[in-house]
Amino acid sequence: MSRSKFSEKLLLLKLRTTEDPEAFAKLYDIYAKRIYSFVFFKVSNREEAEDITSEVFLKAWRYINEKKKIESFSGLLYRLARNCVIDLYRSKSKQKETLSIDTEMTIEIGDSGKWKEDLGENMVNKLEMQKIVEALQKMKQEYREVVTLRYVDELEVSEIAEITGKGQIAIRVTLHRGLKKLKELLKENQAVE
Amino acid sequence: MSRELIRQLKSLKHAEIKPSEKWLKSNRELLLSQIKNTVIPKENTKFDFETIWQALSIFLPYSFVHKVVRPVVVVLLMVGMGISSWVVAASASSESLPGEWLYPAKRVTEATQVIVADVVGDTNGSTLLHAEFAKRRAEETRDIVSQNDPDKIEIAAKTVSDLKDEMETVSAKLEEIKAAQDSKAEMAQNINQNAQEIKDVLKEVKVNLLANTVTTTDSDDLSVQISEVKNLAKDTAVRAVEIMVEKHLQGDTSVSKDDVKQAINDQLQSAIKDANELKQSVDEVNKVIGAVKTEVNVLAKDAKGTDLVSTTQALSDKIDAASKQTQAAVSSTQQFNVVAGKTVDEGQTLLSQDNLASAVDKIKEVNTVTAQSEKITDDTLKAVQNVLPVVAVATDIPAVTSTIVIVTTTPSSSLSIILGVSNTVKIATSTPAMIISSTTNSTNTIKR
Repeated sequence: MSRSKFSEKLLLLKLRTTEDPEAFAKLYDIYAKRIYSFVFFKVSNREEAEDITSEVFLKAWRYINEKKKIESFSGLLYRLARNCVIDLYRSKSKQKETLSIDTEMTIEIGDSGKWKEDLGENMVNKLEMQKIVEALQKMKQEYREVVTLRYVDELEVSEIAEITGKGQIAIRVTLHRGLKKLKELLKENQAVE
Repeated sequence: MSRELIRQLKSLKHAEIKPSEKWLKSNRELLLSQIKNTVIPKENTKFDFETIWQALSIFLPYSFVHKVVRPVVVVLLMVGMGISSWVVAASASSESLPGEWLYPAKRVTEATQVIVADVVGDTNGSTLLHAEFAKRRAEETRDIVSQNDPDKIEIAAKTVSDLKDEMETVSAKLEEIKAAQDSKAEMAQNINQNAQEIKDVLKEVKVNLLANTVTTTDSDDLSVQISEVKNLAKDTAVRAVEIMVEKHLQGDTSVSKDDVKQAINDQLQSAIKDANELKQSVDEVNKVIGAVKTEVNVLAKDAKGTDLVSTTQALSDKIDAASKQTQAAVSSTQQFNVVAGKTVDEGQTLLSQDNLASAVDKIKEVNTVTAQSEKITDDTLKAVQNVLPVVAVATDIPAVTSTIVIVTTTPSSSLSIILGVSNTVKIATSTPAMIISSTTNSTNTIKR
């Protein structure tokens, strides 16, 4: 178990037993940036990302206060963030009345157009990265989400399972298929070029 | 390809968008102020099992804690609670007596122990358990009888019946020990000790039964039943010693020769002690009945010319008959005592010559003699008790004047007599025939 995970669990235990806001603040310090990034990639709007991040932490506090079962605090934060993004997309789609809101799966909560401009200056091989981002964008949302959560956000399979509400085996299968699909898409791109 | 792809995907995170530090700080403060408002100070924090699982999940995977550790802990707790409650019930029930609500638990525990010993094939353990349980039944009978409750006579009879069953089982097991090549003389020695203890406890029960102020037909039957089981215990003890001798002669060294000789000597001594006590009992009954006879005769003379003549005469006749029987018993027990003494002497001589088998035969002989003596003593005591349903010898502290209290019921009239006895009758308190009680009432009263 990594040191950060250990300290996260200790903080969570302290939070559960003493309901200490300072312990929660420390957890905020650990996760705020990560959750912000995760949300930003999905909503592509700084203000919305900030609002959602604040909302995620408030909801997490209520969750802890209600003594609900928490398997992983990071998993909880990502799940709450994901749900908040879905809610945002729903409300947007409602306003536009262009998308169906019957099911969550019908809402595309991808990261369209945001990867390229956010790649930064430190990339060694910008071109290669752009190709990967393009391939990711072409993938089904189901695959893209799991692949990015696993390798970009570096979450454990168990955490991804908690976020998406699926079983760990299902996540592994999706991850495998997602990587396979990504490879195919990259090959297709190379062939076109 | 996959590894390279994964490496490239991981490098994507370097491109993450960082929130402004200012926003992070302000949002932190806002969040803290919001959550601090929701915190309610708690006076008593309730115990929450979830905290334990959370604490465990620091060291173990959460899913493992919830799917494996938690069910295991719950099962262990249940089993632990079950076992502890059973242990508490069993230990509490170990002191219980027949008729009490915890007693069935005691018996179930015993039955379980025997079943476990039988299942694991521990024959010796099973035998010792039966011997131990037989001893418990004897002690339970003693405790019930000492309560002097006529309503519990039936329960005592049932307990004696159970004791008899246990003794029969022990006897059967004893034969198995004899037949089995691998069985040790040590087992027979243990059974001998247990049987001796049972015999002693039952002797005590008989004394208590006679001492009970309320005697009924049931208690007489119980006395007979106890005598029967006592003889069974005595026979078992003798048989155990016999097997000890046999095993010893076959080369079994689990019990030393000295121990075998000691066991034989103990039985011989016990037999002569029993014979002496029986003789002493009958002698004392004879003394008491003699004193009562004298007083009743005086009373009959005084009652001449009154309407109490027929009642006192009937009582006098009954006491005469009982007196004759007692005198005959004195004579018989005297003879038996002499025979028993002689047999024991012979047994001890054989023992000194290391003739163990013949010494055991002498135990059997002396036991037959004491059994006959006991039968006569019991019959005499019964006859005396029929005449004097309650005989209580009240001894004043200087034991110079004794007061015999007689309470009897005749068909014609209810007669309660307390006689001041002029002659001195010193009664030993250890004898089963007499019940010593302290009273200051020494006046002569005749109540109709």
